[in-house]
Amino acid sequence: MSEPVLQTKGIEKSFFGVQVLKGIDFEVRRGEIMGLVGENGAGKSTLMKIITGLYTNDGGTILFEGNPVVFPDPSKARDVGISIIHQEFNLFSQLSVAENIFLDRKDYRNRYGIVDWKKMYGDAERILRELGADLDVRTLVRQLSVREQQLVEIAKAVSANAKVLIMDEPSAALPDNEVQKMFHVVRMLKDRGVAIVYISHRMKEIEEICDRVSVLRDGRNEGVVEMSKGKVDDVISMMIGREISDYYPHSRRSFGQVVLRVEGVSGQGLEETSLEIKSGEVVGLYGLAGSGTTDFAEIVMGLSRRSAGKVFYKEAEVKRDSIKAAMSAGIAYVPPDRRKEGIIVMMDITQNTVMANLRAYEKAGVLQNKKIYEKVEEHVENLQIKCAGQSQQVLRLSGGNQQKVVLAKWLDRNPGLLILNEPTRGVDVGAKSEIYRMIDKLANEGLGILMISSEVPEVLGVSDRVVVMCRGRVTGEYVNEGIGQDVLLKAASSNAGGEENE
Amino acid sequence: MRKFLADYIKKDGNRNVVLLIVYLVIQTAAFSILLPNFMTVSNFQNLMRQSAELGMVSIPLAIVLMTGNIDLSIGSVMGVCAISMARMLRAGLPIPAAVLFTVCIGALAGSLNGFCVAKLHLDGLVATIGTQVMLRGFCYILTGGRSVSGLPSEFTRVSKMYVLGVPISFLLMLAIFAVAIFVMQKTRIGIQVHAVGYNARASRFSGIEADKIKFRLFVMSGCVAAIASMFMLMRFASAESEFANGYDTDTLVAILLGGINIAGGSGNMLGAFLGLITVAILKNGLNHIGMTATYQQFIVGLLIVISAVRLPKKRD
Repeated sequence: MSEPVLQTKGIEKSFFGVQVLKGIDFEVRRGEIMGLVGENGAGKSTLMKIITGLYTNDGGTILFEGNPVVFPDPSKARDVGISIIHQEFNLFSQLSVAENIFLDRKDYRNRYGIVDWKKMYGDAERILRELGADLDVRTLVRQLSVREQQLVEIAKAVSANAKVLIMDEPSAALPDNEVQKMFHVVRMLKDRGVAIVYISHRMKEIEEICDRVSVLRDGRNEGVVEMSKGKVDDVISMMIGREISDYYPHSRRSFGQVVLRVEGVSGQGLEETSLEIKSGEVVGLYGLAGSGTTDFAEIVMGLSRRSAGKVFYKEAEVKRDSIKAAMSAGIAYVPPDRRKEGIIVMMDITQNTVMANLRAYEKAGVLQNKKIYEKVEEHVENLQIKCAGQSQQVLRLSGGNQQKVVLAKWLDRNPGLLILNEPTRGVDVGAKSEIYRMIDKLANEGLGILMISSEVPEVLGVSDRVVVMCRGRVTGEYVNEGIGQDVLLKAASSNAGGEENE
Repeated sequence: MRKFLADYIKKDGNRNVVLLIVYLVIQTAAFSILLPNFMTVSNFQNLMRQSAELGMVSIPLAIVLMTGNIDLSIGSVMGVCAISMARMLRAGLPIPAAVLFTVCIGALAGSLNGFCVAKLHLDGLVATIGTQVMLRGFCYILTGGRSVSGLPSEFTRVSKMYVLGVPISFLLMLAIFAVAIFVMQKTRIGIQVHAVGYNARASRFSGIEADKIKFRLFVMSGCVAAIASMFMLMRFASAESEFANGYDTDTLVAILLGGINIAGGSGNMLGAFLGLITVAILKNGLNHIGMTATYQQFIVGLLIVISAVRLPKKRD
């Protein structure tokens, strides 16, 4: 077993008197892919920022190749061979691939400051070829796909002779079918002896690519797991601090009357779609990107234009193209893009929570602040929103708690039908399981729930019935009893017009 | 108390309020020590009369800014209203009828802006620069290049009326401010205006009808401009085609100083009010010193730039 290239011992860090890292030991060896997992706020990013010199630690030491090191800033860390690829890439979109790779290098300038373009292009081509990337080094970065941009980031690290490469959520921005290609490059680097730190929320990827996994929880080490098949459950229970047998709670319940009936609805990205949801029923709507699931939700909600078809809420027809009509009927919609559509980050929890239901708190046109306070307090408690108080800006909440605020906003209207679009996107494992439990609880209380998701395990975990969409049409509908993942995937990528799966 | 103050400053838009109060106290103290004629009843009555109209129009503009929009046509709207008013009075229309018609004209001009922004979805800057130039052109047409004067004295003398020594235009301005502060803090509209300014998409997804709010704000802005223009007309007793020209910028100056974010969302009415008072006292004081308007303009501009400077946040 080789010595660790990079090792930390007892790293401590506090922000404004709050200790976020409480003595972290971490190590990664040559040619190893070390996963780093933990819920949001567990301390992963802070640890990496300390390692790369963006933050200074209050206590503990960093050892690189056995020697203690302190980096005053990230460029010094990179110079010795520790590179980091952030979730948001650090590229200049108006510069070429080659320029981005060698941006702050002096080797390509002669003593008059003139750039040796031939050498730069040549070196860039060589590095990218080694990575198996077929890219024109003269292309501007803004013309590249996300995966290609990521390759440029990796090339940057390789060109700096990285011995340690830290990848923060490398798959977050990638389309599903390109994750494997990224893995291929990562494995190649591993074979070359690079030590890789792989930070991710996606357990499937952790299971597939990591040799070992370090788990952090609340700024402490929970342990290191040698990965092999089936170990991922251990990792998750270490992360959330309890067993995961009840990760997807799913009660048996009987359904009531039909709450939503959609008949042959068409519109932008949607063709003659019909769907029924009963009270107490959780329907999973599964589809890949561009399948029309979001279009379906937005058209039902009146957010985008309906060109044909009818929508009924409990037998009453809902006026088209009006979110107000959908809302006052009793439909609620938690959109997929939390920061752009769900919450207003600069406003506080109170304001965000009552945003969609302000009229209910009016008395002679004046808002009843006491009533608002009490009601929001109730939501904060019921949904276990972790915050410093109602008046905290939503910006300062973790992804999971922000999502709970969106949920609170809609539950405040007492809807009969709740549409959740990717409710667990960008949410950590702990908050995920709380959201699943919430869905189950709400269905038990008689709400009809439509959960749109592109994650198969989640769809199969919480739904009573699964509807699959592809290219704006329903391509499959199944009662959720022993259907396999492959069946859903097949329906989601079928080109057929669709009823054969019934 | 210290904690309360620290929390208050941290809240968006309040930083300027606190700084302005401090600055205002220092400025007023300095002027009253240096200038013998500054701390007099007649000077303050004058000051109040001069700032009343600016104060009125700054109220709807501040709210328009909070929604992430802008209205640069206020001066032109005031011009059209004042000239129409003057002509109606000259034609012998009874004062109440003329007032009513003038407010209607203001509302109409406002709904033109509202139509461009809320219905045609034009950029507020583009739309209101357009209407600014358009309506100023209309001013020239209405006056035919001559000034309209010879207004009935029952009308012009209103500007010299006081309640407990305070000009009634100033009282009216305070009343409008009070209503605006109440509406922005205690009603649904307040939350919705900020929401639209911070994130228009998310507010649409919460069922807030941003277009409706924007339209109404522009109409309101037009009505208030009409009222302000009448008080100005009383003071000047005549209207010419350049009436209230450049007033849009003066108004913006006052509310930007008050910490209203031009990008929408943050800011509060108290800040707008303090900004207005600060500029008014500054200009008045500089007048007493004997500084000409051109230099005053330089100093006010400098103040805006300084007030907009934010110390860079410390890393870590």
